[in-house]
Amino acid sequence: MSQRQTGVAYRVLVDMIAGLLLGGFLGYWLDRWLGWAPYALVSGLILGFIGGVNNAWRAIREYSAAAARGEDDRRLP
Amino acid sequence: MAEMHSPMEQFEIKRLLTWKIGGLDVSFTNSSSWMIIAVILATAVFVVGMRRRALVPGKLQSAAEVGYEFIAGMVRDNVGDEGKKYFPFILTLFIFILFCNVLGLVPYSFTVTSHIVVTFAMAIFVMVGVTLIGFARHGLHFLSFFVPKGVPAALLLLLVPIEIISYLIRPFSLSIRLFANMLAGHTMLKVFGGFVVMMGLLGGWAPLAFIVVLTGLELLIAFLQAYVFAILTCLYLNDALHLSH
Repeated sequence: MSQRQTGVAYRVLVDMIAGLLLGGFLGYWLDRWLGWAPYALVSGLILGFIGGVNNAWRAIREYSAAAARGEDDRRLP
Repeated sequence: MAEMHSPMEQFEIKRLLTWKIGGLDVSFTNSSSWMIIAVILATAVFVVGMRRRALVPGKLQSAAEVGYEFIAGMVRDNVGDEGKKYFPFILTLFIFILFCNVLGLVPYSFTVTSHIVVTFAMAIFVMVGVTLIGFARHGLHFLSFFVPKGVPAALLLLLVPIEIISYLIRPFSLSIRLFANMLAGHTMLKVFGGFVVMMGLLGGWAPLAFIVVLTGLELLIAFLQAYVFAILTCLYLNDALHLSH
């Protein structure tokens, strides 16, 4: 695995984790404030995960599109 | 035997001068002082480096020129000609993060970018700015960015909220990436530094050798993360300018 592929893998990893963290955090505080426990936390985690995977998927798609064109891809680390 | 310090102690914010404005704590901290040092050093490299404007550049001038051309190329490749207007901002962002990261590796210094408030402030600034640029350029048509092309109308009900959520996650992933890398790297260095002291003169050489290797890796990461922050800013800017998916 090249250095660049490792970079893409790390980028995708953080994309997915950030979605979960944000969704979980917002859900947790909505639960605390509005007493919706545990629905806001659960739906926040699910929505955050979906959003994170969507971002990760887009990053991978950009990378493989550039790789398929055979470009020396400078767009992605 | 030296006293033991927690590996997280290095990230502590200390007030150097205590200032309060209307109940708000705006003290001058070690974090602020290292930001100022980074700004002064970065300015010095560019101002002093470019003072002579020699045709055959010296060391400092080469460094300044390499940094300039590196970012200029990045903006040209990723944003295109419209990106020229935003080049000064991206260069400043890159140089500031790079200097903060590298200065953090100096012993007894403080790593500004290891705090999520700092990286998040930069990321949210970038994202709000990029969104405003998108609206200023395309008006309400910018909202079509959230509508994937070639999708049945029924699915749009599901996909548009997902696209909006994904967009809102971006500043968080941008800031977490930089902050987590800095935090993890410096904690690792400190933990292995603790091993050296604990294992003493006999066994301490192995972790010491590891620290040497790790410091080299951290230097690479310091550069790489500044690069990643700058290039993702370019990509987001490109999305807003060209509404490309």
